[in-house]
Amino acid sequence: MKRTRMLSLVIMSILNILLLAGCWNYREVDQLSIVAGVAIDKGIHEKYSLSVEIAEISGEKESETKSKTITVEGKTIFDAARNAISFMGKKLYWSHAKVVIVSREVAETGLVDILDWYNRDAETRGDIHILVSKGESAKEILSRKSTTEKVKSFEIDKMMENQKALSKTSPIEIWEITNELAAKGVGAISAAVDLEKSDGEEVPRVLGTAVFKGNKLIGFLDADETKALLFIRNKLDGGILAEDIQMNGIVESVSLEIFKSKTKVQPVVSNEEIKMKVSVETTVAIDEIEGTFNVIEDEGRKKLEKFAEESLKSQMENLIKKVQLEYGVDIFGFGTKLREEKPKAWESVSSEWANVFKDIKVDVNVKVHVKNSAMLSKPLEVGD
Amino acid sequence: MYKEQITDREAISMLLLFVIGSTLIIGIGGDAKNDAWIAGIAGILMALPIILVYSRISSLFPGKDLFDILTSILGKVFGKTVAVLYIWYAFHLGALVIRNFGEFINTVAMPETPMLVPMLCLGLVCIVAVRAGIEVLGRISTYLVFPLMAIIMIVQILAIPELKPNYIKPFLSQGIMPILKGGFSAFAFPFAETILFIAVFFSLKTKRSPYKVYFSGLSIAGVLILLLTIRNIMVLGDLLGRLYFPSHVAVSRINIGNFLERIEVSVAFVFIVGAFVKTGVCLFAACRGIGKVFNLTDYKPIVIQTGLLMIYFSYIVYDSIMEMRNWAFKVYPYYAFPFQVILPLVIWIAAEIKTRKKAKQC
Repeated sequence: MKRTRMLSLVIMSILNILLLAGCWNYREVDQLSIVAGVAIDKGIHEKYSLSVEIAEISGEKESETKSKTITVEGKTIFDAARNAISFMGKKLYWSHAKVVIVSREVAETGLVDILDWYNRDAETRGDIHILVSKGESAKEILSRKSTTEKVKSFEIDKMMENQKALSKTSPIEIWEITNELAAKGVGAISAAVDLEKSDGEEVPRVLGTAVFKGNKLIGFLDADETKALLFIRNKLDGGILAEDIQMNGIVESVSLEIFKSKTKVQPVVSNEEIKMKVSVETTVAIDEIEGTFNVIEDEGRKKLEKFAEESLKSQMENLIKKVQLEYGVDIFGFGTKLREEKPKAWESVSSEWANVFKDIKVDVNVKVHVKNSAMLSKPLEVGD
Repeated sequence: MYKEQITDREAISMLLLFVIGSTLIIGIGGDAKNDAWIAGIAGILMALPIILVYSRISSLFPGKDLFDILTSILGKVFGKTVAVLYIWYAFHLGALVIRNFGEFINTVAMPETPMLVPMLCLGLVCIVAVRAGIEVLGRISTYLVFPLMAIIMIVQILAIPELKPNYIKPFLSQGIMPILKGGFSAFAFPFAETILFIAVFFSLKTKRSPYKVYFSGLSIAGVLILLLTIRNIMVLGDLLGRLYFPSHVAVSRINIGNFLERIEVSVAFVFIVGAFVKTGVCLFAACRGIGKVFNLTDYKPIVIQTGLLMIYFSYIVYDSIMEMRNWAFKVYPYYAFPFQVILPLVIWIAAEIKTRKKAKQC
């Protein structure tokens, strides 16, 4: 009895060693090439050209992260990704990728090809950022030298993450843009990135928004328009409003830091006519006064709030008009709101929403509330 | 022969794990899109009357299992024919669950490992558990149910920042039909699959127990499934109907401060435990049925053979995951309908008549 028990224990231990040791095909860390980010261009010989930035971790004396970019071509995205093996001998590992940059050319022909693989494959993750390169090439962006991080893709990811305090681009993750492409009544957008000169060197800068019609890129919005767009979409968490304020004929600038902003979009349906009511409520703080206007005292503050409200309102109205006239795509998600709030009215217009959107009336209301003036209770005074 | 006995609590835990087992991973009511949760409620409501029938059958014959009941009310020949049908149902259902598990591991975790390997791992554990008897299965369920609920609840709370309540609006946007369809599919998978528990409840202590076990087990499971469905809708929105394993993707979105992320494994853990209990119960029912039909004194000697056959069967039952999905949502509700509704109704009516007669004679 004792012997059989011992024997079964030994057999079980051996079985455990064999079965619990992991997967069929084990992969050691040094056998993998960890992808940090990828840029997708149109290929010269084949359909796509993938530029993959690989994070290399060398752990000799001090562990150090370096990056290297390689470019491979393929008939499809996945084909190109696998072709990497014939260049470097290792299989790419996608779970830690942070950004996907799509060149303008590819975005103009359609995003679905890229999004599908990214959503479908089990190794890739949907919660990474997608950007569209304003310039011709997406590869350029990854191949530039990075300043704060060792790996360019990680730096771009940081730019997107910290966009909360800037709000000049619309950070969108793969799953979000996939949902927006599929949903009726909302047009897809994504962040845009461009090369800009800084200190004599061209470096990537994340700025503005790419606008899609269906899954094809049709245009870009600049930084200020992006901010207005984020206001309407209720996606704004922070940023600066630099307002010019006019008093007694002199113009001076005031910077307002946005602390909280909430936007409500309400569809109003009356007599078959659909109107959108956009009401924005923003809490800001005065963080910079370029001049000696007293905008802190009641009277000046009221005036400042008024100025900020007016300028925000006109920015948003201009943007809506521009989008309606130039692009005709509902990137504000008015249609979605209508579907959620007034399903019946949506039913009647859903098939021709693109046309309805073009001349829909939008009523914008903005309320700006100044909550403090940071550390100083008065503007600086200039004596003699 | 030693009489096996399980407590109500063990039975409830077993039922709970059985119901949530593979449902958590595949999800319910995909057709109804953002109304899937309403479809879930519809499914539970549809299941209530039939559950009442199951409990009634079970409590009319305390100490007897499904196959005893069949032979005693339908006669030897007809009773055994129906028993064979139920053996097939249990065997097939167990194979489907094992296959679900295999496909899940194959799709999300180990695409290059042959699917037979994870399925064999799960199947062998089930064989061991069933050979040890229903008491062991019951006890392991009570041990597993609390960590499992804790995991589900913690993940649920962690998912709160990812919820987008507007995804759930508008209610009833596609009309009532998809909801009824989704509700029917939720009724067949998983709620009415609990028919197999009639084969287990012979071991309950009291006559009232089946009611208590069925209703409390089902209501807890129903609430859990509803919560998870609502979470999946609010996290995934339109993507919900397009995924094979919605819960897995929904949980993968959780990211607390770039620190607590990639906790999809929790979903896999819940699934493994659920699949284990579900397959175990199916295997138990099948073996017990075979034992009864062939007049064996004990079902235990045939567990290994039946279990291995189940694993092999699960290996060949589908050609691909597409077929699995199509079967699970489109064909299965109709295929299971006779086993889940028609036959139980026949058994119930026959049982009522039989017991009335008996009462009169006395």
